Amino acid sequence: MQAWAGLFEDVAHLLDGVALALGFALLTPRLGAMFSLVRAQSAVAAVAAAWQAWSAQSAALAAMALAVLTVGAVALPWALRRQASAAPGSRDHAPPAPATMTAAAALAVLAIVVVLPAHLPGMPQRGETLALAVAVVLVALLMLGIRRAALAQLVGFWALANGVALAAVAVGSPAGAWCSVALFGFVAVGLVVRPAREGAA
Amino acid sequence: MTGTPVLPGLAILLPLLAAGGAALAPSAEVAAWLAIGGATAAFALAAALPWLPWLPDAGRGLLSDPLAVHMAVLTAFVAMTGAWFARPFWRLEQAAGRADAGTARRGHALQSALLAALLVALLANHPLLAWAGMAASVLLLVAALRLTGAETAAWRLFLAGGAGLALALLGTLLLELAASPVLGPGAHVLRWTFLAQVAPQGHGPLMTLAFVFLLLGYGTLAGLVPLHGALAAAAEGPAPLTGVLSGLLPGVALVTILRARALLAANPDALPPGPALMALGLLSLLLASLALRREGDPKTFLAVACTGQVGVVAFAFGLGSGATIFAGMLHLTLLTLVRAALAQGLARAEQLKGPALGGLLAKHRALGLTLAAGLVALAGVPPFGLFTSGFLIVLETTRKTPLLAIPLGLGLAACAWALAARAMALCRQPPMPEIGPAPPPAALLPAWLHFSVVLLLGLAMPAATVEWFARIAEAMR
Repeated sequence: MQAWAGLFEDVAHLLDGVALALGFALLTPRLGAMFSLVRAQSAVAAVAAAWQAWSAQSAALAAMALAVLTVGAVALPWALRRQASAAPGSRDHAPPAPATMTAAAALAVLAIVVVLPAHLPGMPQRGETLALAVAVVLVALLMLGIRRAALAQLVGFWALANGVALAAVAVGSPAGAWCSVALFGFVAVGLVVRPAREGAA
Repeated sequence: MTGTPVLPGLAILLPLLAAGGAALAPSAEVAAWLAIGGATAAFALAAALPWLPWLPDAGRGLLSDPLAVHMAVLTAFVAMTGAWFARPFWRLEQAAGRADAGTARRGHALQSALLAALLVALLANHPLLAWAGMAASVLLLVAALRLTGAETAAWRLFLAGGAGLALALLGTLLLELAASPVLGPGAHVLRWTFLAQVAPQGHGPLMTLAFVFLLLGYGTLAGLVPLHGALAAAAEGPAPLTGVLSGLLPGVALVTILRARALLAANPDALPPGPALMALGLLSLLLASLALRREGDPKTFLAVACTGQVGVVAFAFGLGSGATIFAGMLHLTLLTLVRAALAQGLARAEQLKGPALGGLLAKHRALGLTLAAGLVALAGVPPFGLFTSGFLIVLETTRKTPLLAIPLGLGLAACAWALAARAMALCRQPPMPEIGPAPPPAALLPAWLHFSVVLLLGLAMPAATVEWFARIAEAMR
């Protein structure tokens, strides 16, 4: 039984780690790659929610996993591809990759250093998943800050929603999970309110 | 006693119904009257709340503590005068060909919906429901900016507001986690009233982390640094919505920060919340005082000036004593009233003269005086109330942290100087051609109603008002 519990934690950490690695990869200036990566990150967030739902026997988290998968990994990528089809292979202006990667690594380390010691007594695994989720949020904020093209900024906001969804999974809050799904609704609104004249640079 | 939980609910529901009715109304005129009716009813209901007995029942879904009631009354009052102002505003816009009947109708509907969303954010006992109210407010403001084609401003507000909301949601989730050992699992227990009771036993380090994210997230919506550009962008839309009602959003966000601050202050293991709040407040004030010198556009100038004053309020909340929270709440109340009045006056002036306001005071004395009075009031010059609250904050800062009184005083003086210079320029600029009809004096009544309250609170604050603010300060200390 203890081995099973260890497996649950290891898989949860692995999924959060993959989401963070995808967050780093999202710092690429190529818009097409960004769309695929953020879609993959949403899928990973959905799997993490489903895994947590299974381990905690939570119907609310299972519903959240389904919502994140449907909205974040299917509907939004489809809508985004339709909008971006006019500018295939375009790139966004971005600072040099070494500087961006160094800043992202510093933010990830900051998240881990700050969140890990703050974990609840008796629940260290929750602190680790939370630290990784906060790292995803901070890296997404960096991406949001350095992007110039509206579509790339929207992808940054989408990654932010993925990070908050992972945090809601780590906390295990049903109401928080639904609020984090609402952030994906924000991304959908972003597709509508995106300035028409500003395309990918 | 049983009426208490019903009234806040009705105050939210009626503007929501008015919004639905206005959206489906056959004409803009009908939509305008529905919006006026909804906002007036919401104000009447909110104004009745202080007279009803407060039930400190922690499990209720809607708050009716002095802080929530005070902000609800203020919000509904500003929305009500804003609705009176919006009807002739949209008629003039239609007459000038800048808006059609559909745009005006949607404008009235958005105004009512925005009031309902702000009241949800203020009165919800559940922090996540309050977050949802704030999220709806941001989306409605984005829709308002799109209404007049301000696409870039809408996008800037969407991005900054969305990022702020994401951080605030993360902070709320951490707050829930910090309180979970005491509260037990389940979302139904996460209430501001429950949290206030269990804050001393909560997990201190996690509460500190939650406060940091709440401060950064809601600070963005309040206009505090480092993501302070969102609200300045919101100033570009139609005046009844983005000029008048967007001024309420910082207040709602600051009140949520104040609640989180009180939780953190009650926990012995958490870091003190004051220094972070004071630092962001002071930086916002100093940045605004520098930016005001360069700002030419009147609407953005007003938004930046208000950002500085929001910084003063945050600084006062950060100091954390009863007297400074009293002064901070007074400053926030007066600032909201002055900002809404100034936004109304500015919108009238722009309908008359376009963006160049030269010669306003010479030819249209009532309108020119309204704007000049607003700038003087915002500068914190006596006899207006912002002088009283600003003086109280500086006095308390000198007593508690004398060194910080220097940058605070310099920031306030620089802002006041820039505002006074703008008021002088309004008087001295050469006359510019007019592009629209002059507003009748009655159209300025809502703005002067606001100034009367600000003047009254500055010259002779009634004892009952002093007691009311003292109750809020005592509860939030």
